[in-house]
Amino acid sequence: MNEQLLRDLLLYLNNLGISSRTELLPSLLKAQKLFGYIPEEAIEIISEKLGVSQVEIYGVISFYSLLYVKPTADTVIRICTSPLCSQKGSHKIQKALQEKLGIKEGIPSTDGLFMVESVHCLGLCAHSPSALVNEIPICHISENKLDDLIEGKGSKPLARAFSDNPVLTSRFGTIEADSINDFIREDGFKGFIHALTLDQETIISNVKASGLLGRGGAAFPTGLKEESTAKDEAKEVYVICNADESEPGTFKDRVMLLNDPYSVLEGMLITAYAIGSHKGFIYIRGEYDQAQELFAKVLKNAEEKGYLGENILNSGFSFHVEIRSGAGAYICGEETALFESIEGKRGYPRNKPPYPVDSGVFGKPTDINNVETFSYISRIFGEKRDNSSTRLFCLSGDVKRAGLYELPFGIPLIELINDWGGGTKEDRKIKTIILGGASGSFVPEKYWDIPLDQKSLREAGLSMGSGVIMVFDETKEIPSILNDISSFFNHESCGKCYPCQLGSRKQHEIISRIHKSGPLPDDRDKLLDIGFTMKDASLCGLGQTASSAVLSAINLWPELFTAKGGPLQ
Amino acid sequence: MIGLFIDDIEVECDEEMTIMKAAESVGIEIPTICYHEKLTPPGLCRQCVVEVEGARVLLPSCVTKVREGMKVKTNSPRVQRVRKTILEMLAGSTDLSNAQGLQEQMKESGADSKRFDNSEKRVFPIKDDNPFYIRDYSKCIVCERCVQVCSEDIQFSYALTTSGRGYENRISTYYDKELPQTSCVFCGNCIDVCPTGALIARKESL
Repeated sequence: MNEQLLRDLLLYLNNLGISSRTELLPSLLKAQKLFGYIPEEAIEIISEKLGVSQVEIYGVISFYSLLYVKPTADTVIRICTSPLCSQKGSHKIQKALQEKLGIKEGIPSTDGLFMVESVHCLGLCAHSPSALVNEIPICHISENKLDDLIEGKGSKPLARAFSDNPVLTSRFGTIEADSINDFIREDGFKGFIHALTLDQETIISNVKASGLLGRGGAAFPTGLKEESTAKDEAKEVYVICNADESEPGTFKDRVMLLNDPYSVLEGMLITAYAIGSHKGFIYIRGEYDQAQELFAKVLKNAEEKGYLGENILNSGFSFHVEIRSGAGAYICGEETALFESIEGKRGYPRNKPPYPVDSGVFGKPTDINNVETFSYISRIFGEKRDNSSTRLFCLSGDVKRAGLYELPFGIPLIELINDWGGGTKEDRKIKTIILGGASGSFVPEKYWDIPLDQKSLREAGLSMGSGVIMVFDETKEIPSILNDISSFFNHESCGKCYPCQLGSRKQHEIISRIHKSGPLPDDRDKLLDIGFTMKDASLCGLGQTASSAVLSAINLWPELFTAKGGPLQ
Repeated sequence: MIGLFIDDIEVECDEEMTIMKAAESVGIEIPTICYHEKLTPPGLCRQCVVEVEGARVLLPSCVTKVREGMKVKTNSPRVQRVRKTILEMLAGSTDLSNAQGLQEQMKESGADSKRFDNSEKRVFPIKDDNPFYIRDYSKCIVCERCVQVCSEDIQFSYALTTSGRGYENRISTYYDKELPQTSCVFCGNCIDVCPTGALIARKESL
């Protein structure tokens, strides 16, 4: 055991402002960084300092993919195997890489230099297949460039957006993302300063009047959330920015945080002022190291300039923001699981009610919103926008120009793909389109020209979720795509409730078999029972949507699920 | 007091009551797996879900409170399908041979215990590491009652946790150490609440 590293950990723990359970995940991530894993001695120190039992810490570590109780390696290479990267051959690349290094998945090389494992979506879907080499994202990896990959070399993600009338993305490329002066020059904080002149009810009614719906996937009215949180007379109220973006096909929050992070902070400030909150968190997924570092600078600069901290701009209003890092768990994007994670627990979602606006993090009323939502709030006040007319779309898959698009609601799906995305590569035929990510569903061909607005989509039984559009061309096979999706949920179900814990596994077993060797006579009925059970009885949104793709595929291509010679229903 | 309808029966009860308790008050028994009178209901088994008019999904009756005018169906086709499928998936994952209560529920709901037989089961060697208990986690359904009683709900011994994630969730000690090497005080509470016979006192096993 390295005594110096233990002393470093102790020093970190001694310097914590609060020694309580909420510091558990940050402390474990610190230990992971120091040691490359979390040794027993580290658990003992953390347990004593934070007053959390050792066995609970053990349970927490085992829940999160980025925390390990066994040594990892100097270089950990994580290959994305989410549907988009998998369809572009990432499994094969991973296998080749492991063979080259002479190691098996998840087991470090004997010299401790390398470890390879798969990871489910890195938010680099516009540049698939992709990988993470320690903290460095590498795009367009290939079997021919394994040496580069091992050294952490390769193409970096482009963080830009396409739009002909940018609102949310108007500052992209015109400012240095970490420069507060650039931000202010481009009308930054104007919305917040304007909001400071208004009373709280007016701010909330402006947000309500804007019609803004949450952009994280559930599309809940943002103003209503603010109103319900503010109404509560409790003194302690929290604002949380959910930046645990992990839905396969989603990368908008990463790009937003890397291009215009101050706008997100501005939205948080306005919200905090409106609901009387003095403490906020931004929970950024653990794989977004760059975004975390940048946001730390943003907070520091904002504090120095008086836009954050005590008595902001001499208004008497105080607000503090803390960055929390995820540790590799898709479920923590679910709001109540995110609260549990901040509280230092396994990321289990809670039964609702109580809802976050009544009892959120630490049991206090909490207004939690997505990155894009907060950024939009800043625009409502900065530019007096009275409607929420554009949104971010993440276009990926077999299109010529995959990437982030800011476009008006109501743009027809096929227009986005063809006119903006340039159509499919080599002008192949589109096999299928998925809206909403792994938890979304296949779009029937008759809806390929559907206007992308809430109403049209709802009527068609579709959902945009977090703005994900994944395009697959004719060279792709449905069972293979489904296999990637069911594999994702099999890996990411938290396992708390039975429908999802059992269903995500059984669903994957059946899909995987169908993919390999075709369906058995009762597969279809089993998948339907599993699917509806997950949808109808799971505890949280993850489980309730983990069968969406499979159910929609059964509906669209029943023949794929019916054994040869069996009845086609 | 408020009024609601459970399976078309008019029920009057306290507004703080759960649907499960309100149903019980008029003689309707809703099946459950993880719920235990003395413990904080985790609402994880979803066996007690009911159909509430106007609700998008089925609701767990163990933690959902009654509301004025609520219309509840405790045994609708939607509910039946879910209960049956959950039990079938459980049987396809775990050895339920000692879980009497679950076997009765399977019979009641018409669940086919062999439906997921060619699915990967969770099988572990029996843990026989102390003079008092035997732990056979092949029979464990991860209802987490044992973790609850070992922690804040009763004993504050903190010998057990759930480790892993998803289908890999397991009941575990610290680093999976043998029980005598942990903070276990052998109070026996975990054995009392185990619904499947995964935890048994040594004398029972003989």
